[in-house]
Amino acid sequence: MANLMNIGLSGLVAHQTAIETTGQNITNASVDGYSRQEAVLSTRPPQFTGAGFEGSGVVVSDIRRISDQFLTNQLRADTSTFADKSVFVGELSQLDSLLADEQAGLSTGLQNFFSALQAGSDDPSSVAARQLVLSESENLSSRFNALHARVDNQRVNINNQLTSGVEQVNRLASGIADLNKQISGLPGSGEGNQPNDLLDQRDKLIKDLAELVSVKTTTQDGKTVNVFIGNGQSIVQGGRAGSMQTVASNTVPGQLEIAIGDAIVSSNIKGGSIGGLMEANREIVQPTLNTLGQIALGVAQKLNQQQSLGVDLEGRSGSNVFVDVNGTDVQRSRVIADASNAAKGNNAIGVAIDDVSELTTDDYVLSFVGPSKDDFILTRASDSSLVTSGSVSASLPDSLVTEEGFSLNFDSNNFQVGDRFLLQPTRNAAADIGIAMRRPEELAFAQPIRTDTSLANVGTGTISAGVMQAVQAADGSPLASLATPGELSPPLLVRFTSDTQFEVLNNSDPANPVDLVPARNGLTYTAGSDGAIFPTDPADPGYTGFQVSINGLPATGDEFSIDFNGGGQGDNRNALAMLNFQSEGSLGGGNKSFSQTYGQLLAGVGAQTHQAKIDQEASQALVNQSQAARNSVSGVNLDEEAARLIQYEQAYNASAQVISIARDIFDSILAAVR
Amino acid sequence: MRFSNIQAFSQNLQGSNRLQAENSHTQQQIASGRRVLTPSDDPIAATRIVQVQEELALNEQYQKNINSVNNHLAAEEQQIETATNTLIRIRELTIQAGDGALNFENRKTIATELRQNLDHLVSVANSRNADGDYIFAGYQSAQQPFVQTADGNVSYSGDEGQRFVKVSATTTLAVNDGGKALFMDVASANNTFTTQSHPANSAQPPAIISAGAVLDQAAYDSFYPEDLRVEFNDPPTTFNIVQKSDGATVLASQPYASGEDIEVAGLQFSVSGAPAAGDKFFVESSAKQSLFKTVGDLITGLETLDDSIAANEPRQKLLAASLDNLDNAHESLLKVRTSIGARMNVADSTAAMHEDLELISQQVLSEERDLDYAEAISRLSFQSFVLEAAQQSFARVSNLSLFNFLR
Repeated sequence: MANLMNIGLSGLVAHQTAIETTGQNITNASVDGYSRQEAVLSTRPPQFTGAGFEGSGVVVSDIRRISDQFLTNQLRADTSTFADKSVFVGELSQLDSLLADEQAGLSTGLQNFFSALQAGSDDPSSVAARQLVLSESENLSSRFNALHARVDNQRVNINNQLTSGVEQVNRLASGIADLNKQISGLPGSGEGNQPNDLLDQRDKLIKDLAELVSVKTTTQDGKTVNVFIGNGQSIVQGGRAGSMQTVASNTVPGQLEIAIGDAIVSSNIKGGSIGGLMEANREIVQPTLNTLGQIALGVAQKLNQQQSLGVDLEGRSGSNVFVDVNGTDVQRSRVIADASNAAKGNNAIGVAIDDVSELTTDDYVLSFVGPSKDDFILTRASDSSLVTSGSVSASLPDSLVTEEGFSLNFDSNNFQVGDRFLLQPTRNAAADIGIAMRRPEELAFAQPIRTDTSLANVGTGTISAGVMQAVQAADGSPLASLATPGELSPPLLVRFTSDTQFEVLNNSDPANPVDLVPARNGLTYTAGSDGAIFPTDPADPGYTGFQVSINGLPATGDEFSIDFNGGGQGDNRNALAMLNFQSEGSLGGGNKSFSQTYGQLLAGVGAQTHQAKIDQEASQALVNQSQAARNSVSGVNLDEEAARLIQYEQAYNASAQVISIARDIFDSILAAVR
Repeated sequence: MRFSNIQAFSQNLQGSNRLQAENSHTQQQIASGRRVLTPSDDPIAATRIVQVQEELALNEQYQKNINSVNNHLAAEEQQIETATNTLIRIRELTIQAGDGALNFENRKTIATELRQNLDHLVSVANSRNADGDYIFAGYQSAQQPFVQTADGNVSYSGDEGQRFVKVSATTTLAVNDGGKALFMDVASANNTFTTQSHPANSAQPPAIISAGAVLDQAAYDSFYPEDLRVEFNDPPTTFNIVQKSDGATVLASQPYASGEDIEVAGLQFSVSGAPAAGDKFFVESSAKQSLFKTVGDLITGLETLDDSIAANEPRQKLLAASLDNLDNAHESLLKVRTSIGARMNVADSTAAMHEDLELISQQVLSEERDLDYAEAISRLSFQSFVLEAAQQSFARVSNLSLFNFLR
C-alpha cells in the first residue's frame, strides 16, 4: 500500500519531468542549433518479497539530447564551403557589373578616344578637332583612374571585412573555450549525464566559426573539444583560446596576412568567408588591377612613342600626350622591398617599361640568392618559375633587359644575400596614367619628312611619301637626321646615275649636292622590288630612322628629294599611324588590341562569376541537405511534441489516480478498524 | 524521415527567396530588353557582344569616314571640272587665234580674254575646302600653293603630299591631290625649262628670275637635257653661266643689267632687281611645262607677234605647240579626275560592304543580347505561378498543427 503510493508518486515525478522536457522542446522549437531532448523513462529496480519481485515504479534515467555527431560535422563543413562561395560570388559580381558598365567601363572610353582621333585625322589643321582628341585622351585616362580606384576600393573593403572577420573568430574561439571549461567542470558530467544545452551552444559556436573559416575538431576525454584551423593550427585547446590576427604583408603592400600567434597561416586558410575574401583578393581583384594597368601602359606608351615620331601643328617634334610611363618615381614605385630585407630603405631599383607588347600581367620576385651578394634571380610571383638571373655590376647604374617587356635599373649594388623585392610592372599603372599635354596644337599628326619628284625627270619612277620608324638610335641617343628641330639634317637627294644605279646625296646646297658621310653611291635599283632606299638595320651607319621607297622605271639623271615637312598642316600620316592602334595588336605578344585585352578581362571575370555562381548554388544545395538531415534528427516537430504532451499528461493523470486509489485503500482499512 | 518545424520554415524561406530572385531577374530582362544583363549571365555571349559592339562602332566610324571621303573628293572634282571647262575655252580661243583673217589687234583681244581665263585657272588652283584648307597644296594646306608673280610666272609652293582617310581595316583612300600633278606635271610638246632662285640667295629684296622662253628650239634641243646655273660674281656687276652637271662655264663675266634679256643655248630669260654677290639662279631643263606657263607664253606671243611676215612662222609654231600642250594639260586633269572617280568607286563599294556587315553584326548582336519576349513573358508568368503556389501551399500546410485540437 505504501509501495503503491510510492509507485504512483514516481509516476507523477517522472511524467512531470517528461512534460517539462516536452515543454522545453516546444519553447525551443525555433532556436537555431537546438537539439531536441527526450526524457528516458525506465523501470525502478524491483523489491524482493515473499511473493517474488514486486515493481517499485518508474524513474527518469536520463534526459537525452538527440544529436548525431556525424551530421553536425557534415553541416559544419558544408557551411564553410557555402560561406566561402557566397563571399566569393559577392565580390566577383561587383567587378562583373563594374567592368561591363557602359558608363564606368573602359570600352566606351577607348571608342570615344579613337573616334575623336579619327575626326582629328580627317581635318588635321583644325584646332577644334585636336582639342576634342585631347579632351578624349583626358577622359580616357580619368576613366582608367576611376576604374582603378573602384577596384582598389574593393581591395580595401576586403581588408576591412577580413579584419572584422578575424575579430569575430577570436570572439567565437574564446566562447568555445569558456564552454569547454564549463562543461568539463560540471559535476555529473562524468557519469554520462550531459549538459545538453551547453553542448548545443558549443556546437552552434563552432558552426558559426566554420562560417568564417573552415575548421576541424577533436574531442578530448569526451568532454572538451579542440578546434583547429588550416593545417592543424590550434585555435581552441581545451579551455584556452588562441588568438588570430591580421598583419600587413611583408611582401605585398596593402595585402593582409592572417596569423595565429606569430605564425603566418594565410596560405593554409581555406573555406569560410575569410577564405573566400582572401581568394577573391588573390585571384580576382589583384589580377584585374594588373590587366587594367597593362592596358593603361599600352595606351600611354604606344601613343607617346608614335607621337615622338611626328611633328605638331607648329612644326616641332611631338611631345608626350600621356605622362611618361618611365619617370624615375614611377619606375621606383613598381618595386617593393620586402620589410625583412637586411638593408632597410635600400630600394634603388627601378622597373622601366620597354615593350608593352611583351608585357604580362604577372608580378615578379627579385631575390638576391648569393653566393655573391650581387647575384640575383628573377622569378614569376605566381608560380615561382625562373625568368632570368644575373648579377648587379659594380659600375652603376646597371640595367638588365628582360624578355618580359621591362628592364631593371639598378642605382645601387648595396644588396645583401637574402634580400627580396616584389616587382609589379603593371599594378598601379591605371592609377598613374595622366595627361602630359596641355595644348591641342602639340598633337603630332604630321610626319617630319616629305618627298618630291623633280619635274625634270624623264623616267616614270615615283617616290613614296615615306614612313617614320624611329627618332632614336638603338642606344637611345637621338638620330642625327632629325636632331635639329624644324629641319632634316641633311636634306637628301636621290639621283639616278643609270637606270639601275642611284646615289643618295646631301642636298643642303641644292646648287651643289655632295656625298654623304659615309658616302652612299653606286647603289643598285631593281625595278619591281620594294624599292627601299635606306638600310633597315638601326645599327647601319646609313640608318636615318625613316624609310622611303622608289618604284617604277626611273631614268638616268632623274632626281627625287627628301626634305623636312615644314608647314605640313594638312599632313595626317602620323595620326593615321595612331589610329592603327584601335585594331592593331599592341599587347599580349602583339596579338591583342587594347579593347580586345579589355574584352578578355571582361569575359574572364564573367566566366569566373558564372562558375562561382554555379559553385555557390551547388554548395547551397549541399548545405540545405545537411541542414535538413540534421534537423530531421535533432529538430523539434511540434505535432510530435503535442502528442507527447497528451501522452505524458494522461500518464500523469493516471499516476495521480494510482495515489488516489492508494488513499482509498488506506481509508478502507482505517474505516474497518474504527 | 522525421520532419521538424524549423526545417519547414527555413525550406520555405529559401524556396521563396530563390523564386523571387528568378522572378526579379526575368523582370529585369523584360524591362531592359536584354537577355544578358551582366557578363556572368552568359560569358560566351558577353564576349561576342563586346566584340560585335566594337565591330559596329568601327563600322560606323568607317561609314562616317567614307562620307567625308566622298565630300572631299566631290569638292575636288568640282574644282577640276571648272578647270577643265576653262581649259576647253582656252583651247577654243587658241584655235580662234590661228584664224588667218584675224589681225594683230583681234589677236590682242583674244589675249585679253585668255588672261582672264588664266587668272580664273589660278584662282581655281588656289581653291579651298569647307575647312579652309587649300585643296591642291598637298601637306602645306594652310599656305596658298600657286603664286603669280608680276611677270605672269606662276610657281607652285605646295608639295606632293596626299592626305589619306581609313575607310576599312585594310583600305585607305587619298582625299586630295597635289597641284603639281594637276597643273605642273604636264608633258610639253617641246623641250622646255623652269627657272628658280637659290633658296640661300642673300639679296634683300631678293632679285628674281623671269620664267623666260625658248628662243631657238633647235639650239636648245641640242643642249638638252643639261641644266644651267647663273652665278653672280663679287662685285655682282657681272655673272657667269655654268653647266650644272660638270660646272663647265658656258658664258663668263657677263655684265649685269636689271631686266635685260639673257640669251644662252637658245633660251631667253632675265634677272631683275639687285642680286648680291654669290646669288645663284637655276635654269633647269624639263620635258614638262605647267599649264600656266603654256597659257602665259601664248598670251605673250599673241601680244608681241604682230602682223609682219617675220612673225608669222613663230606664231604658227607657238599656236601649234600651245594646242599640243593644252591637250597634254587636259590629259593631266583627266588622269587625276579618273583617279578621283576610281577612289569614289572604291568608297561606294566599301560603303556597301560596311552596310552588309552592319546588318549581319546587328543580327548577331540581337541574337546574342536581345531578349526573346514571348519566351521571357511566358517564363515570367510560370515563375509567378510557381511562387504563388509555393506561398499559398505553405500558408495552408503551416496551419496544420495538432495544437489546434488541444482545447
